[in-house]
Amino acid sequence: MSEDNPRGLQKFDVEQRLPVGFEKLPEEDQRAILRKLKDKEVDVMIEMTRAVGKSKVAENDLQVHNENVARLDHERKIFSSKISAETGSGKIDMQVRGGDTRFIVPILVVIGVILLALIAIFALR
Amino acid sequence: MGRRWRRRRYAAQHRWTHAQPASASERARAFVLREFFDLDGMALARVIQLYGREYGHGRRKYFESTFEKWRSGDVQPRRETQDRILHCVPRFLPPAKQFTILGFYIPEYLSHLVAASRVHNLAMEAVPSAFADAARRCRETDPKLDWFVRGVFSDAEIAAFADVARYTVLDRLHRSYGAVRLDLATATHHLAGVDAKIVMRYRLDELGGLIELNGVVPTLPATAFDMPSVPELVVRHREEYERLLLDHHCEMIVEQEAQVARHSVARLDLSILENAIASVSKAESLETSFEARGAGGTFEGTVSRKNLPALKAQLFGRIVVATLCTLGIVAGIAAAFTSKDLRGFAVCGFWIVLAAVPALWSWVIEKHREVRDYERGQSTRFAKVRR
Repeated sequence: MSEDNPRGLQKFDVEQRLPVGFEKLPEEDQRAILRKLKDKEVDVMIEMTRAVGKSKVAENDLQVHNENVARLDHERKIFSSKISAETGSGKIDMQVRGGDTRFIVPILVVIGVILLALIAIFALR
Repeated sequence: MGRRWRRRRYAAQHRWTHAQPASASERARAFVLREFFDLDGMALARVIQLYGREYGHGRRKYFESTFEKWRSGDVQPRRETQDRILHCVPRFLPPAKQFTILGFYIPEYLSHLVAASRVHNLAMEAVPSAFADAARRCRETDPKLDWFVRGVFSDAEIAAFADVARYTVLDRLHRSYGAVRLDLATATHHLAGVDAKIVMRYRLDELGGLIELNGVVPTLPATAFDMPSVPELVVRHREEYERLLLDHHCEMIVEQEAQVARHSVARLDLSILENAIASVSKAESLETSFEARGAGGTFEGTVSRKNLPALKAQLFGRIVVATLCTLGIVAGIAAAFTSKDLRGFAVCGFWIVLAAVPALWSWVIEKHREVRDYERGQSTRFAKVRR
C-alpha cells in the first residue's frame, strides 16, 4: 500500500469542530446532536472502508489481468484483452491490444501488389 | 352504511386542511387553516374581532354562524373566505408556530438559491469565477414569500431569514470550491506522469457544470469569493435561526468527513489506475476509461497509449494504401486517355486526382506526425501539464 492510501479508521474529533452556540444548548440537546453526529461519522467511515475494499479488489484484478497479458505468447499473434473493474469511487475499464503486428505488413503489401497488378492488367487490355 | 357515512364526513372535513400540498405556499396555507381550528377560545375571539374590523359586521356574523360547520367539514369556505382567514389567523399564532410557517419556505428558497448557482460547461480557468458568480447570484436572490406570510413578519425578520438561508448556501459553495480545488490538484499529481494520451472531464457536484481537463491545468486560487460573516440575529426568532445555523454546521461537519473520505478513495483509485497503466508493457496498445468520484465532483475520462512499432506499422500501411490508390487512379486515367470509349472519364479522373490524392496523402502525413510526436514524446497530452 502506497503512502497515498487512506490508513483505516481515523479517531473522531467531532467535539473539536462543534459550531459556536452549541454550548448554549440544553445538555439533552447537546447529547442528541453529538450522538447523531457520531452515528453519521461512523456511517461515513463504514462507507469509506467498504469503498477501499472494493478498490483493493479492483487493484488485484487489474494486476492479475496485466500479468496474464504479459505472459501471453506474442510471436506471430495479435491479441486483445478487456477487463472491467469496479472501484470504490467509480470504475476502470481497460483494454490491452498487442502481439506481433509486423507480420500484417507483408500481407498488406501482397494484397496491394495483387490489386495493382489487376488494375494494370485491366488498364492495358 | 354508518361507517361509509362517517368516512365521507371525515373526508369532507379534512379535504381543505389535510390535502397533501406540494409547494411551500400550499403547505403554509394548509398549516394556517389547520391551526385555525385548533385556536383556543381567547385567540379565536381576537381573530373574530379582527375579522369583523377588517371585513365588516355582516361577514363577521357569517363567520360566527358558520365556524362550527367549517370545523366539522359540512361546509367548505370559498377561496375568498380562506384568504380572509389567512389574513387574520397567523398574527395570533404562538411565535413557534409562526416560525413553522416561515420554515415551509426554507427548502424552496434553498433549492431556488442552488438552482440560481447552476452552470453548464466551463473552462478550467473559469472555475473560480463560476463559483464567484454563483455566490453573487445567491446574494441577489430574495425569498419569495406569500402575502399572508409577509404580513406576519417584519422586514428585519424576513431579511434575517434570507441572510441565514444565503449563508448556508454560500458556506456550502465555499466548501465545495475547496473540494474541487483539492480534486483537481490530486488528479494533476497522479496523472501528470502517465505517458499516455489522457482526455479527462470533471463534473462539479455543487454547480453541476462540466470542466474539460485537456491541456494545462493551472493552480486555482485558494478561495473563489469572500465568505460573509455569520448573520447578526437581533430578531424575534433568533433562537430558531441559531438552531438552523447549528443544524447547518452539524451537516457540514458530516459533509466534510464524507468529502475527505471520498477524496481519499478517489486518490487511491487514481493511483491504482496509474499503476495499472505503468504495468502494461509499452509494446502493447492500451485503451482505458475510468470514472472516480472525488471530494467535490466526478472525474470521467479515457487514457490511451499506442506502441511505437504498431504506430509505425500503421504508418507503413497508410503509405502502401495511399501509394496503391494513387497509382491506381493514375493508371485508370492513363487507360481512359488511351481508350476512345473511356476518354470522357479522363476528365473526371483528373478532378479525382485533384481531390482524392491530396486527401489520401494528408491522411498519411497525419499518421506520420503522430509517430514523430510519439518518438519525440511531445504529443499533446495531459501529461504535459505545467503547474
